[in-house]
Amino acid sequence: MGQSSLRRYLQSLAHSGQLSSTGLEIGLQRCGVLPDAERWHRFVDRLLLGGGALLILAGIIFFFAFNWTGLHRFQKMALVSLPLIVAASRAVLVGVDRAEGKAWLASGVVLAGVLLAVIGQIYQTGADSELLFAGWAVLTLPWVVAGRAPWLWLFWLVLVNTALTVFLVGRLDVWVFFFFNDAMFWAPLLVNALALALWEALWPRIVWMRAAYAPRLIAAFSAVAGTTLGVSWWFLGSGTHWNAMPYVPLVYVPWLAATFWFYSQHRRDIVPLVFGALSAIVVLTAGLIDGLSDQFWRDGMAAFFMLGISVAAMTAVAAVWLRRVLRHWSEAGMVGVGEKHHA
Amino acid sequence: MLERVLEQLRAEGYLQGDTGDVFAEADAGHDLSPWVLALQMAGGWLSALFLLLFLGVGAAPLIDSAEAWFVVGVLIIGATGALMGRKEVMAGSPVWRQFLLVASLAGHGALLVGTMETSSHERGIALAMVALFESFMLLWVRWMPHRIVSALMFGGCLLVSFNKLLAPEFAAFWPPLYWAAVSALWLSESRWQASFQSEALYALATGLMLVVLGGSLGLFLDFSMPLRGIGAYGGVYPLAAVCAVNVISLAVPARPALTAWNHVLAAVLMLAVIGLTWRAPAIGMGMLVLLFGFARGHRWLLALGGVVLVWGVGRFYYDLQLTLLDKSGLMVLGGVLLLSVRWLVGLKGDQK
Repeated sequence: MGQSSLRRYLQSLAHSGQLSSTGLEIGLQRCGVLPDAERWHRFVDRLLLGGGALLILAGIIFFFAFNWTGLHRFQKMALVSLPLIVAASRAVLVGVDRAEGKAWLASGVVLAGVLLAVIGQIYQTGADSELLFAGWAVLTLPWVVAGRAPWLWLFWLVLVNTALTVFLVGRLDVWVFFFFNDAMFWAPLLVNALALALWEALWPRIVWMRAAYAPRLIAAFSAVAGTTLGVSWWFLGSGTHWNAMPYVPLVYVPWLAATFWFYSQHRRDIVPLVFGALSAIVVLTAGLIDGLSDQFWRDGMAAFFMLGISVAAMTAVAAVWLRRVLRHWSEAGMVGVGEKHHA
Repeated sequence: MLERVLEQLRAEGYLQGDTGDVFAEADAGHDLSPWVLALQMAGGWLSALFLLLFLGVGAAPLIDSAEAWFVVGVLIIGATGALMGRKEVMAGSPVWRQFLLVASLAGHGALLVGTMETSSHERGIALAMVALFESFMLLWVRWMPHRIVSALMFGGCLLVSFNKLLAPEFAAFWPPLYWAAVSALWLSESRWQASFQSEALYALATGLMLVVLGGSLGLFLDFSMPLRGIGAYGGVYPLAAVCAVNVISLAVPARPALTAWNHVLAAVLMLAVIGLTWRAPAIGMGMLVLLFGFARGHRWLLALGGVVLVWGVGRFYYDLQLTLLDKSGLMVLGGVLLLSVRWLVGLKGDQK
């Protein structure tokens, strides 16, 4: 029973008159909801340590910021390279099997990007912004592989997605008609779906990959990319110059179907199913808005009413299906990943 | 662990009666997967917004006076409030509950539109009446999300009516007044948490706190932009009053723990830090909220306090009219001070 459930339970006893006010306070203390002296000491200690360290670190950064323009370019690069070398060396010495080693390795991964940014600032080559993130991802890939940490892979995937997004946004202009096929806008969904498929394929074989949060976050990235693509299809799919847009359902629908099948029948995780359901609701709502667009001009009241009822109905259907899935897992003794026995 | 604690409480005379059914009632509406619940809340909100646009498009042309807006607002809030309090609604679909909440928000919005339609010299009275109505809703509707909305409306409408009805020099003291109420409520939670209206008091503490923190972060009002003083009205006295509330609220509950010289010195140093940053009260307020959250086991309060504290410190240093070099020195000094306090707290000092 979690802390909020414990508190709710004890408060219910108090509200029903069975537990006195003093008893409620004592009960909360004994159940660990309220901290004891030892927890207080640990909290104050960590708060002061964290606050003090952050302030000193910020002071050091401000000191270098004050002197930055006066530094020679080699001094600037040395200021970033030295911590990078220290971080990498510590990671090797401590070993990436330990949490401390992984933390040093992660620091090195971050500092590599900072070094690239400093180099880019010093030597202004006019390169596109996405090259920074793409280069950062490529150069740090060996370290991320060596790190064997789900959170480090997620950070790396964020770099890839950032590079991709910056690339696409930078080409939302006339160039897309002459030099690039608009199918490139499918790339975020394809990249993230591929990442998720690879993760799930390796999940049974590699122990450190079995962290529930990692595939859930990748599924969230896929859902955002898929939803954006699906919504765009409704408004850009026909009568426009976006040549590849009419074929979006060939990508979106299989992705949605595969997500629903895999996580309801195979891996049993409610979270990607919720993301998929939410994506479907948003895309279908966008379709309704597109279909009712003429109606808004003639009779906005009726259009809003239909939208409201439709969204409520879709949400209810999705919730009923998801609860049925959870009940099926529970009855078959197959509790889903990260889920308690919910109806 | 819970069973053992309940046995102890029963043996010590604090607990009576059978505890079997209470849990089922307490858990009513909490048996859903939190993810499915989140989906239903999102869908409920989206659906409700569209349906309210439907009502708005249809009804807005018919509402042409402040009184009409007030009537519409009171009717919507009253109707949704009456439904929210029913057991079958609370135990039913979250989509329906979220729809009622959004509809209620539209009713609160109608009240605000009505106040804006009143003339300038009547607005203060109108806002005070709205605040009175919201205080009634805070007590009547027994659902926490709606209680928090009512508390926010109560706090917001009351302070704007202060500004309209009172002289500016007095109106500027609403932050320390509210903050004193918030501190008193959180400090005394152990006394009222078992009472019948504990939810209302919890919502009131939350609502007033969010109103004051919103003001201190400069989201609205001129209050407490660090080092810029309090704006056009009360000068620095309201800032000093807030600082005094912070110091008292920290010092009074900490007294029992000050049993050794090193603890006393550590406490004096920390109170001196709060005193030195009195012109940036978000720092002291953030620290207080952080400690309230930890002391009372409310994680959301702990997180909120952390965010406000970091924002307050950052904004304080940003607004300092000093060079980066001087700021860096101050930061390092601040860090050394905190680590010194940590060292003092960790010492095995002699007990008094």
